[in-house]
Amino acid sequence: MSQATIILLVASCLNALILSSMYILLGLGFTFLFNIMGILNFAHGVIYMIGAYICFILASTVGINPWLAMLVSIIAMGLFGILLERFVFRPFLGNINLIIVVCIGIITVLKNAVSVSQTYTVQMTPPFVQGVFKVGIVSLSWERLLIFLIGVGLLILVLLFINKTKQGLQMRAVAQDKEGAILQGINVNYISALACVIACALAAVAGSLMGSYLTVNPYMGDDIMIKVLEILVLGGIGSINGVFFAGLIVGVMDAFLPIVVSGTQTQAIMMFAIVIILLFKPQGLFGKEVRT
Amino acid sequence: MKRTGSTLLVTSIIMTAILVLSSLAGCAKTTSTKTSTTTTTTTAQPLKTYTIGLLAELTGFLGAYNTATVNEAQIAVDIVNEQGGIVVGGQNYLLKLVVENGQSTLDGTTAAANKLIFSDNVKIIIGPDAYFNSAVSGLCEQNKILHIAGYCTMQPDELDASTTWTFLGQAAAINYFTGALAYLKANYPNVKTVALTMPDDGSIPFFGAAVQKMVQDAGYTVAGNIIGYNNSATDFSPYSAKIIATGADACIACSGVVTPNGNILKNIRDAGSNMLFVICNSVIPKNYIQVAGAKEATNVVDCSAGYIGNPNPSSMLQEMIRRYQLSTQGADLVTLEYANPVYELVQLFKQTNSFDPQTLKTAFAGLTSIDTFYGTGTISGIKTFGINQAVSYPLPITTIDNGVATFRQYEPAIVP
Amino acid sequence: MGLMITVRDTASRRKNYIQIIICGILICFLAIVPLLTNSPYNLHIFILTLIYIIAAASMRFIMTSGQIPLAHGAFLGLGAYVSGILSKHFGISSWLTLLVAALVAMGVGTFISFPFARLKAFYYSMISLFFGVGMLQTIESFGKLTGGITGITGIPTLFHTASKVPFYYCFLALMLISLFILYRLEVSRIGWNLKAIEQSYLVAGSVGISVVQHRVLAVAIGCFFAGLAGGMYATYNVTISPSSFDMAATLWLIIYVTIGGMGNFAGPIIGTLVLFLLPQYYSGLKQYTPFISAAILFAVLYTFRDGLVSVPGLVVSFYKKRKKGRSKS
Repeated sequence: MSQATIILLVASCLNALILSSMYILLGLGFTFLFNIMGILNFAHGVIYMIGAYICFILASTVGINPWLAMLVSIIAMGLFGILLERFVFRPFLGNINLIIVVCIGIITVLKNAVSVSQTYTVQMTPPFVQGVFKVGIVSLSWERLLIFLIGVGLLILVLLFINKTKQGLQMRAVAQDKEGAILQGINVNYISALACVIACALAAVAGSLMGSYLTVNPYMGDDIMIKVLEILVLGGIGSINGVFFAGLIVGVMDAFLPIVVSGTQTQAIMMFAIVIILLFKPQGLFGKEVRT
Repeated sequence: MKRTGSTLLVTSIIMTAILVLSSLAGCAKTTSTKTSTTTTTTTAQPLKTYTIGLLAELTGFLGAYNTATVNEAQIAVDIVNEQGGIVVGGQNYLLKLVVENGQSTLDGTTAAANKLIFSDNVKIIIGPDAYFNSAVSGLCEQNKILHIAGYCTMQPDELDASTTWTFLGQAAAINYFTGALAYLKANYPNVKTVALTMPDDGSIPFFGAAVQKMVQDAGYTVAGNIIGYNNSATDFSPYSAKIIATGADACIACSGVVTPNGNILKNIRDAGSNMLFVICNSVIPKNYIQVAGAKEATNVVDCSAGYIGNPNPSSMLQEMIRRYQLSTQGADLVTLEYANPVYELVQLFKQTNSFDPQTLKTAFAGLTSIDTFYGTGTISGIKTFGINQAVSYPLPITTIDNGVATFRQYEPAIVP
Repeated sequence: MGLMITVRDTASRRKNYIQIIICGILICFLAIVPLLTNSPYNLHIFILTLIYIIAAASMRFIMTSGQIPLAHGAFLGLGAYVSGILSKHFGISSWLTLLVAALVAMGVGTFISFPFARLKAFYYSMISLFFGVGMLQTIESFGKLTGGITGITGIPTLFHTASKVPFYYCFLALMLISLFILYRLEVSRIGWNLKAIEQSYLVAGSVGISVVQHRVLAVAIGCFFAGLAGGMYATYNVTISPSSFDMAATLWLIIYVTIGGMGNFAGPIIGTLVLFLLPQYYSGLKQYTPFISAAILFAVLYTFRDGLVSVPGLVVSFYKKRKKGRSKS
C-alpha cells in the first residue's frame, strides 16, 4: 500500500472515532429524554442551536472566556428545560402528534427570532483550545480531540448517573412503569424535570462545542435532528448503553463513505443502511421493546 | 372520538366561511408591500414612483444573507432617490422596491415570482439568489418581464440561449473561478495537478463539468473526480482526508459557502498538509481567517467580493459602504448582488429614457459594457451560458498567509 | 321500540340529506371561485391548497390506523419526481404520469410497511422517517436526472395554457373524488377496523381483524393519494425541488391534521385552510409570518386539544349544559 493510502486509512480511522463522539454528543440528550419520558423531543435541535448562540454571544460579542460562556449556556438551557417540562411536555404526555406540533411551534418561534435578530456575518464561537497534536503520521487538532474527550466523557457520566445514583435509579423506575413509580413514592414531576434539565444541558454543551468547531447559524438545529434520530433508533431505544455502539456505526459510515462516494450519496446510503438494520432489528441493535 | 353529523355540518359551514373570507381578502388585496427598512424622502413635490420587483430569500437557509443584500439594494435606491431620482419622458420618478420572499425553496420562489408578476404587477424583477433563477427565468420569459439575476449556478433554465429576458447583473460562481484560475496560472507555475471540490447540491453535472473543462483547458490535470461535499455534514474531515489523498498540488474550492470550505481548509492544515488552497466565492478573506483559524489560514489564494483592496473606490461605492456600516453598526458589505442590478437599471433608464421592458431589454442586450459599484463591467457570456447577457467586473485576488490577508491585484474575470 | 327506530332513522336520514345539501352548496361555491377572483396569484394559492388538502387527508387516513407516516412528505416528493421525470425526460403524457406516480408511491409505501405491520405502530413511524429521508437523499444524488438539490424545471404541464383556471377545476374535481373515496373508506367496515387497530392492535387481532392486511392497506391507500398529490404538484408547478418534500413538509402535514382535528374527516381540510391558506394572506409580514403561524399553533393546542373541528361540538355541548342548567333551576 502506498504512503498516501496508509495516511488516508489512519486519518479515516481517527475521523471515524471523532465523528462517533460528535454524534454521541449530539444525540445523548435526545436519547436520554426519550428513554426516561418516552418523548421524542423534536425541539432538541433548536435547544442545541440556542445553547450555541448563548455561548457564541457571550464569548464573542461580550468577550468572556469560552468555557465560562459554555457554563452559562448550560445553566440557561437547564432552566429552559424546567420550563419545557412543565409547559410543553407535561400537558401533552403520551400524545405524539401534539408533542410534534408543539415542538414545531417552539422551533418556529426560536429559529425565526434568532434569524431575524442577527445581522449577516460569519458567526463562530472563539476556539476552546488551539494547536495540533502530532505523533508520527497521526496529526489531530486539540479542538477535535477535546470534542472526542467531552463526548465520551459525558456518555460515561450519564451512564454512571443512570446506573449508580439514586436519581438515576428513580429515572429508570419511572421509565419502566410510571404508575408503579408513583406508588413507590417517587416524585415523577421532579424526576421528569430533572431529565429535561439534563437533556437540555447536554444539548447546550454540544451546541457550544460545535459552534466553535463549525459556525453558528439559525439552521444548525435542523441539520442535526436526523442525526440524533439515527443514534436513538440504532442504539438507544430502551437503554442508553447502546448509544456508544450506535455512534460508532454512524461515525464509521460517515467517515469512510465520503471517500468512495459523494456527499449526498453518503447520506442516502446511510439512511438505507439504517432502514435495513431496522428491518432485521426494529428496536435497533441494542434496544429493548419500546413502551408506547 | 364521536363523529356526529352535526359536527360535519357545522365544520362545513366554517370551511365555507373561511373560503369566502379568503377569496374576498384575496380579491380586495391591493398591490405592493413595503420593505421593512427605511426609505428617505426627498423634495416636497408630489413625485411619481416607479416600482421594481425584488425577489429575495428572506427566510430559510439564505435568510440572513439575503436580508443583508436586500438592505444594500434599498440603500442603493435611497442614494438614487436622494440624487433626484430618475428622469424618464421629462417626468421625475422616485424608485421603489417591492420585496417578495422566496423562502429559500424553489416553490417558494415560484410563488413569490407569481406574486410579483401577477399581484404586484411589476415589469422588472431583480433577484433571486443562488440556483433559484430556474424558477423565475421561464416565468419572466413567458410574461415578458425584464429579469436581472443576482447569481447564477449554471443549472438548466437559469441563464441560457432560451432565456432572452434574463440578465446576470452580478458576479457569479463562474466569475470568481475564472479570476482565481487566471491568477493561479500566472503566479504558481509549480502547480501541475489540482483537486476540485464543491458542494454536492446538483451543480456538479453542470457547473462542475464547466469548471473541470476550464481547468483542463488551462493545462492542469484534475486529480480524481470532483469531490462533492454534503453542506450539512457534522465534520468535513473525511473530505479533507480525501483531498489530501489525491496528492494534488492545489485544491480549488470552486463555490459554496464559508463553513464547509473553511472547515475543509482547517482540517487539511491540521492534518499536516500545506497544499495550496484556492477559494472562489464572494465571502471576504477576513471570514475565512475566522472560520479556519489564524494558523490554518495559510497558503491560500482567495478571489472574493469586488470591493476588497480597491485602491480607488468610486464615490457611489464609498457612499454605499458608509451607509451600510451605519445601518448595521459596522458590518462589512456583503456582495451588492441586488444593489448592482439597481444601479444597472438606473443607467438603462437614463440611456433609453423609457420604462418599457422591451426597450430596456433590447438596450441591455446591445451593450458591451455597463457601470457597476465595483467599476466598469463587461457584458459577455456567449460561450459559458449560450447568451451574451452576463456582467463581469474585475475581481480582487487576496493571498492569506498565517492569518494575514494581503491584497494582490485585480483580475478581469470576464466569463467567456 | 320499533317506532323509535323508525324515528331515529328518519332523523339521521334528514341529517344525511342536510349534509349532502351543504356539501353540494360548498361544491357549487368552490366551482365559481375562479369567477370571483381575477388574480392568477390567488388561483395559484387555491390550487396549492387543493393539493395539500389531498395530502393531509391521505395522511390522516393512515393515522386512523394508529401509524404515523413520518415519510408522507417524501411520498409526495416521490410522486412529484416520478411524474416530473417521466413527463420531462421520457415524454410520457402528463395525465398518465399522474396515475403512474400514484401507483409507484402506493407500491413503495406497501413495500416499506409490510415488514412492520406486525409490530407496534411506533416502529413503522421510525422506519418510515428514515426511509423517507433516504428516498429524498437518493433523489438528490442522481444529479443529472433529478437536478439534485436544485430540482427539476420545465416539467410539461397538464394543460398547455397560460391560464390557471383549467388547473383549478381539474384539481378541484380530483380533490373531491379523492376526498369522497377516503370518506367512503373511512365509514366502511375497513375504516372501523382501522379504528379498532388504532385503539389496540392486540385486541383487534384477537377478534379476527387481520392487523397486517389492514395496516398495509391503510398505508397503501394513503401513499396512493400522496403520490397523486405529488404528481399534481409537479405537472402544475413546472418546477419541483427536494426542499418542498423534506421532513419539514411532513411535520407540517401532521400539524395540519392535528390542529384541524384528528377525530373528524373534515379535520385536515380545516387544518390546511387555517395553516396553509390563511398565512398566505399575511405573508406581507415577510420575516415575521412564521410567528403568526406559531401563535395559531399554540393558541389551538393549549385551548382545543382535539383540534379546531372539536370547537363546534364544544360550543354545542356548552349551550346544551347551560340549557340543562336553566331548565333545572
